[in-house]
Amino acid sequence: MLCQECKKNNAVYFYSENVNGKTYSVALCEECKKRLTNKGSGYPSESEYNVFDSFLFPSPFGFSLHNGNVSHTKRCSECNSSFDELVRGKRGFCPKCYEIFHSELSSLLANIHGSDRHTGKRPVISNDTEEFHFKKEEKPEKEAEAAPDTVSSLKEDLKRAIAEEKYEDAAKIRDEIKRLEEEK
Amino acid sequence: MNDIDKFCISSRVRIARNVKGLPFSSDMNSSERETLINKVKGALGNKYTYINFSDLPTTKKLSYVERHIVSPDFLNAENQTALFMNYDKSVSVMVGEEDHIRIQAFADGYALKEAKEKAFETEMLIEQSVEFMFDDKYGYITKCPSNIGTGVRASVMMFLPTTVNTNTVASYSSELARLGMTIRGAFGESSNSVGDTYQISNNRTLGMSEDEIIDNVNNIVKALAKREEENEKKLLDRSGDKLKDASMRALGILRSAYMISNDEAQELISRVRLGSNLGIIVVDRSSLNTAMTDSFPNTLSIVLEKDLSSPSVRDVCRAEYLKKIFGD
Repeated sequence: MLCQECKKNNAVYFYSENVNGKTYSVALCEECKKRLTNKGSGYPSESEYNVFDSFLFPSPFGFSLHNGNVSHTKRCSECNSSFDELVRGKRGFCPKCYEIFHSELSSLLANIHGSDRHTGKRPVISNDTEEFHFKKEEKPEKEAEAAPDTVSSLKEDLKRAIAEEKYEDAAKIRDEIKRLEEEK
Repeated sequence: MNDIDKFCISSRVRIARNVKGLPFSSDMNSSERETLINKVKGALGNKYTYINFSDLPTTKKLSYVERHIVSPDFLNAENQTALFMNYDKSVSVMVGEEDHIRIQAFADGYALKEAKEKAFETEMLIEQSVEFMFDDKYGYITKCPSNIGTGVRASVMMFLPTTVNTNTVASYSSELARLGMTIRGAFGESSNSVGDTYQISNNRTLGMSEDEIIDNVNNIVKALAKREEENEKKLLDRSGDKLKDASMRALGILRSAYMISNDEAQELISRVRLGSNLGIIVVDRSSLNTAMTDSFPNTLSIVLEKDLSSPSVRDVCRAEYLKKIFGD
């Protein structure tokens, strides 16, 4: 769902209020929510979110919220789950939930694992391997100029060596590819 | 045989991974499923056998569960799933389980380090051409937050006949939970023990390196093995004659019965294993492990290449098979 203000970003804040049996709702992205609350536009401010139910504040819709039932929940823009629903197991996480509720997850993960920070293996793709697999996309013209056949055939050899679990050979081929690409 | 191997039947390391750009398995449509399977197929190459798991006959599927090659959850997946296995079946890759990819590596006895090496060789092979979901702070993203971070579950199948039983398993469970570990029955969550075997595994997957996880599980396994060894010795001192009689009698039944159910077979194998651990009788470990796995109904049917849907025929065939394994 798109933000109703900028109509560009995905909405992550959803407000609804019920006045005399009629529901009014608004959906905002992170940026618009911040911009509007800072300006004192009538949207609830950051501090007011925390005490949402017990405080009166200027309504985003131009009428007083204390007249009706009020609810505001941050929801995943992909699957529409709230964090509460995810934690209670009413819904399962989708990949986007991990982005939307990134900060909320910290305490949940610390409860489960006793830590909220990964200290183990990281994808190899972010260092050496990335060069092999993504260089082609990043610098296509450069690769086309210099010995494309040698490099691409070496890349094939590399794949094969890995598939055959010949890791020593793979390392040699990788170094050779690196050398050739640096020469360009 | 190392002493600790008496109490460790097998070691297993599982790695959970998800592919960037796709919804989680439960939300994938058939073309996304196909894309996922093809990506893994392409990454693994021809060194791994591809099995269209969802299309297999039920007996075969169940046999994979009995042999711990796939999880019980994988069996129940409603959509298309694929299984890849290396040449000696020591590494399996489930595609389309709760997480897109679950790599499992197995090793005999107390060998988590060996299993970890094998599992990560496969993981890195896939990573050469597949980008996994990864968050800088939280690590590898999994469908359930309980597997996030390393995505690693290290488990050792232990034989603990004199230490853990149905009465004491709850107290061990809470003792281990405080250390971030779990003790479960032979087939994971809420499953019963089979032949006095239990799985010891880590609960926590985040905030520790893969090696730390393995070391922590190993420490618990070593402590439990020591406790079991002491308890077995005490039992031998206290009621040696009864123990000798029980294990020799069990071997006698395995060698001569005409019909044996799986439950009875597992119990007898456990008694023989205990007798063998204490030097009462000589039976090699691999025979005990083979008998234990192959006695399960579906695996027996696959091993003997026979339709064993009738329980009485199955019990007769099982007895015949066990006779061959344990015969003089």
